[in-house]
Amino acid sequence: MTNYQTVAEAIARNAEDFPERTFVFQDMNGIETACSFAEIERETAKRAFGLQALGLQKGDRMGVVVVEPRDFVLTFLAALRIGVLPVPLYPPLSFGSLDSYADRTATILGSCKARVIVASESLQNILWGLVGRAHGLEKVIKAEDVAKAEGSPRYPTILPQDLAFLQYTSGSTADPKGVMVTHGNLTANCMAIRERMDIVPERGDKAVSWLPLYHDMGLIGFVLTPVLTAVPTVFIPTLRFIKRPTVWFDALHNHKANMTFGPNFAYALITKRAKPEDKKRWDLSRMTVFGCGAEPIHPGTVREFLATFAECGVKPESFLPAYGMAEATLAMAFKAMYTAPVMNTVDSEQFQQNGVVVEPSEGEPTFEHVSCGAVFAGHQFKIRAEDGSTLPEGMEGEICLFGPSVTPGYWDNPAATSACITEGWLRTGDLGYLRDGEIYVTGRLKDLIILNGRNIHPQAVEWAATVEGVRKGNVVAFSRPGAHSEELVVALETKEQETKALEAAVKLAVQKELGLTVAEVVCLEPGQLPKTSSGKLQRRKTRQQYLTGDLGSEGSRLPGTAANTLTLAKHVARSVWSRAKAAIQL
Amino acid sequence: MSDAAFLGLVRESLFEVAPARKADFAKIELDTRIDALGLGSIEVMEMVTGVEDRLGIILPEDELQRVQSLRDLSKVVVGAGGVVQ
Repeated sequence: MTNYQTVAEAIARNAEDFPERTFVFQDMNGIETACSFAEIERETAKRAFGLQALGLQKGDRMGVVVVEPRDFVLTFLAALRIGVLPVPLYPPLSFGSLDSYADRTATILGSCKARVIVASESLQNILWGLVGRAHGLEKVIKAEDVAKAEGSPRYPTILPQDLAFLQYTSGSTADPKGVMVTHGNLTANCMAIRERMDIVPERGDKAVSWLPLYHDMGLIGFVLTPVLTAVPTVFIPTLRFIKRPTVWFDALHNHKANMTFGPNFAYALITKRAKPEDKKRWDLSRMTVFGCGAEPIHPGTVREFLATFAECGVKPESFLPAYGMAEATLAMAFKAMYTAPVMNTVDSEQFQQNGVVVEPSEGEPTFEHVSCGAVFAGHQFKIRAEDGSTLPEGMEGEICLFGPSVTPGYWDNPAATSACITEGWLRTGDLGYLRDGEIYVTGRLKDLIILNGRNIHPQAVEWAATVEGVRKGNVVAFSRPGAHSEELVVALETKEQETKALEAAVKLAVQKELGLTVAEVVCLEPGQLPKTSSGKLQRRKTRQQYLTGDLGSEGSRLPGTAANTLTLAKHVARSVWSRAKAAIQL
Repeated sequence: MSDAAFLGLVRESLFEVAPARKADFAKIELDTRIDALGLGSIEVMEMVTGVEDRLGIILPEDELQRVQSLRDLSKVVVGAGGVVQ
């Protein structure tokens, strides 16, 4: 079994100990290219030399915006080998808004003072437009040019306490937060994952991922954990999965893989899209881990998924609810292996009112929560009350984590760091409770709605409000100041033109299921609710927009307003200018 | 490829994505904007996939960043070698 102190050490030793194990990279057509651990060592050495030739040294920051999985993985690992800190950033989305993309990317790069961006060829134009806007940014380099370097890098000493990379979270544009991840954080978290998931490559374990590599679940879960545990892994481009979700399970079947992960929405999507002939074709009986994290886990989605794919040999024990966040490197808790997921049904009134977990009485309204298992070995959970005291099992409060996976803090942002880490304890901002030592995550602290002194979880309202005609996952519940007290508002996206009947149906459903009166239902067109770059609902922003009368007027997340064409022209023009200036300076 | 053939393809794909809205989609024209179709981001990609599958081509992603109307999309399709039989 591998036992590495740093990722740098793992890359070098894997090449000697497991040269024949491979990472397999699919392209958009599904054509596969294998890259053995021996080749990964050679290719990352070349790229490390290429980065040093650019003048990058241990501790320097480097933006990485690379769409092709193979180039991303090799560039990222090359940087880790020489102590350069990669800052993974998401590429512009298809049909997305380039203006807000450029603003946000420039802010992040300026905040960490990255000198260089390594990027895909197709993104050069847009990213050169950031030179001159992001403080300290000098140039944009093509990933393939870094790969062309020939020579041996100088390897600095890398210690567990050294930083490995920065993970920018969905903080606001005004206050970007770059989570500092050390090599020690990575080994601690990845070894805890190995233990909990019972990873044994010698037994033939193999992973498949379509997750974005600029996001912690894809990057740490499916690049760094496989490197640190020497597990063969297959990478599908994210966009390929989005276009054809069935390629995910095709890859599991074809590669006889046994481990994968996805957010709740991905399980809903594959359940909807798999055709009868797909299900006949797939043998998924080897699967030991269908991990599910990164967004609230809906018990209904889990049940539907398991029922739909039982005929492919999917076992309930393989469904693995997970809880984590970037500030804890990646994960804090997973369900135990080889046991079915545990759901807990609680009395919704008692839970909302008093934050107490009690069994429901016959006929009373209930909530169902999914267990994410016990905290990882070497770590501790604590449930914190508002006054800072620790709550016993069965009481809801803020989840706090202590242990070697906790980040040393945010890059160059001591105020944000001290707001969330005290004496080694990370305040997650998530609400939850412990029951039989297992964690149940119930919501976000800052999203909690308080109506007449009652605590209301927005998710509960949103799930109830998802009636026929409402776009699933595109509903936000929040409160507004009313004449006498706070009132409940539901904003949702729908394709219906005539919304009167829908509004009434939403009010009725929420009344019936939760006993709550919705003061107003706001129907929006698809794409009008504000979301983060990773597609999570932004409840606070939705509320702010509602209160300022801007909800739905900011345009759409979706394709093409006329302004976008102008925006593109503007970015390209800026890009030409920056390139010319850089050429003169070189 | 004729405009009518292209629109026929898009229509077929849209019917698959959201069968309930067949009547709306019957009215699409080349100047219909993608954002006026009332689809979410994943559904737009699903429609694009439907067009790709029918033509046996893959549309380059960086060109999709500039697409605003079905006319724009038809240009990308022709550029990628799409021919309707």
